Amino acid sequence: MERYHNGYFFDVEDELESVITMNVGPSHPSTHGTLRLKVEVDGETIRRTDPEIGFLHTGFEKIGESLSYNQFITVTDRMNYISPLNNNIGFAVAVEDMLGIEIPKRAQIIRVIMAELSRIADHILCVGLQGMDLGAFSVFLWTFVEREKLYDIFETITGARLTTSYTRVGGLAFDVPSDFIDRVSKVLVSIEKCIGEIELMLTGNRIFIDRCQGIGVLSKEDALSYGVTGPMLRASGVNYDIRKVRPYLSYKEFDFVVPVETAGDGFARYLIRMEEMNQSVKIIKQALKMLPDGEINYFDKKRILANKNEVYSNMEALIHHFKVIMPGDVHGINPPVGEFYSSTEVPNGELGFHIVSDGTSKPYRVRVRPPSLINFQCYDDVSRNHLIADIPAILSTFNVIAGELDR
Amino acid sequence: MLNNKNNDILKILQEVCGEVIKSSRISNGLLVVDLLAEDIYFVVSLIKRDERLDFPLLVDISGVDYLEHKDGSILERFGVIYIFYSFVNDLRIKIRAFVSESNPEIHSIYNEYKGANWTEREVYDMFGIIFKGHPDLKRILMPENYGSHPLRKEYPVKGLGERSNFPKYNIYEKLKKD
Amino acid sequence: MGFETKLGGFVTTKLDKVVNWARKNSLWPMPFGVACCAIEMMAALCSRFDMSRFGAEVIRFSPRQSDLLLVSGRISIKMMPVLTKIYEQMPEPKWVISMGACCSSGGVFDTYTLIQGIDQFIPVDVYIPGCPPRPEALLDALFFIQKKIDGEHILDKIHGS
Repeated sequence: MERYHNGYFFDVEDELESVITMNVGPSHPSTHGTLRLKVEVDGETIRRTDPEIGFLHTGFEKIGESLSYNQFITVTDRMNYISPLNNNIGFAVAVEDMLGIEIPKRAQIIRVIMAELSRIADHILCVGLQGMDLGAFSVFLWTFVEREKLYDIFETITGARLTTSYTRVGGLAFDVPSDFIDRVSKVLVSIEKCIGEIELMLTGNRIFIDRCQGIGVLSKEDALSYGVTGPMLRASGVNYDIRKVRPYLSYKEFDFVVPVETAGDGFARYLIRMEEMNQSVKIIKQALKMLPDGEINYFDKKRILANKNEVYSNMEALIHHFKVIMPGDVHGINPPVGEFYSSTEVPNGELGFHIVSDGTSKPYRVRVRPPSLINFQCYDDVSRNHLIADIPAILSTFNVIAGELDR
Repeated sequence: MLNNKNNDILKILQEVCGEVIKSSRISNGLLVVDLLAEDIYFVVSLIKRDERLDFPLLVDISGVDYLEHKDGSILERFGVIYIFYSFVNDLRIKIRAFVSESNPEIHSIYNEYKGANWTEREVYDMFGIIFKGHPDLKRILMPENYGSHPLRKEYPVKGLGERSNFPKYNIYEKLKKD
Repeated sequence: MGFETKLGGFVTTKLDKVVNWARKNSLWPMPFGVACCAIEMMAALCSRFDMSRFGAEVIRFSPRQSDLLLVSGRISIKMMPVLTKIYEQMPEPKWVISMGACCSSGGVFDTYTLIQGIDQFIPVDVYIPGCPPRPEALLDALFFIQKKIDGEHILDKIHGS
């Protein structure tokens, strides 16, 4: 075929000659973690993308075979490090499903509050990064200020800002302090204010809408076929939220709405995340009113980790502690033999744990179903025939966390 | 109510597939169906296309190495676990396909569910099971030239020395060359 | 800045002090954040624990224009060649901070794919313990580097002695 350039006709044999491969390497400015995109571009248009992952692979599933159930909770912290409490709660719920036990009401409500606070932390950071990638840097700084307030709460309750490891099999590690309700209510006021400011800044913004609307569209059939879950699936029109479909903890008793959009593009995902934050605030307000007094751990002392103060002073608690911690066939939390799958709703989608247990104190195989990996598969399909400038715009709506992607 | 629906689905599967299903049970509300590797494509395309079954969402594909686990229902060394979800019936189903060690091959379900792309690549990377008909079967989490399959039971947690196999950055050597 | 080599080792201490003062108060970091420690590094660069008060404000994600490499997070065997390449692309003078337990010594994870300490392969100046370390610890490490730069001789970083 011929091409006309500067007054001369050039004979271009193959149209593919104009395609070059560009590398958006593992160390790159948009802070979405270590992934590599090999993009084939023709001029400014993307023809094909081949993502390469695995730069953060740590072997969590292999370690899981040599750690006991309670020890694996510290490993789940490091998977989705933006909202680690959701991961802790997810694994604890999976093991409690396997054992068939139900934890006391107080522990359930506290877990719901921490999960929703963590969900707000994740969504607010995703929205902030989406703004930063498109140039709205101040939104990113505002969201970090809010996250610092949430970190203060996490630190008061769990002892750590980021790697919390707050849940244990059968309940929680420690109880909340006495001024918990006041602190959380104060934080909710400032979070609502920040969500309002972000909406003012971004939702009606001409530049933001132009860069996000119609970009990265994922159709409903494709979304189901790829196995996408979370805000991306709900942005394509499917109402699938594990908190409504298979309610765990005490989500049946809360009154909240799951937002669904039909456009399937970047702007729809942004709107869903904003609305989910509002719904999380609503859930937390209801939960603070219904927080009962009582125990925070399951009553059967033979299967859960004993309270540390009692271990130091009480002989019986010391014996229970030894029996749960020691490895082997007869010690440990005595799980039944078999395979179990259960999942919870984390901000990215459906986090599932498939545990194969052979009755000993350590699991035989722990499989983590990573929502980020399964969502990220459709990046190639979604970014065809877009411009190079849309690469960060689309990638930031996926909310890919490298720790969960590679495990 | 969940058990009734599970039983209905199981009846439909048994009448269509018959002998292909080696065993089945309901554990914790989840219907589990066991079969051998060669029959997986037939059963998966059935549950996708049949209107009574209709499982459109592929939840997960993973692998298990049953070398040290002795249980009556295990037929071969490796198992590939497929989990699907149906909106119409509000049910999950788990299919366990057993793959033998001597011939670790199984047909890929990429033509039915596109989500099998990376999940099957991960099972190949970690266990060494080859998926026939996969569009691009190569390693996904480990480097391309890695020699072993890490999640097999005989591979040690600390590895076989690959992690210390890098050149040390020595500035004297670098400057001597210039 | 080449005349001091011709002086053959006789360099005024005042020149040392001026150069070190300039270098330590305007370090340009190259954030090589891979995992959870990267979030604490981002928090150290944001409004609450402001790192730009100490001069380390210019964050350009290009190794050719920076002099402080902040490695934060667990480095796997797939990432190690990338880290070495970025370290080689940085021009002298350069310093490396290894933030967190995972890159200093392997951390919690003693597995087949994690480097048990990046100092086996690239030279490191300051190690920060913690999983993840608090942002104040990162600021403390910055002070260590500044103190280290204070004690440097001007010819140290030219021929890499």
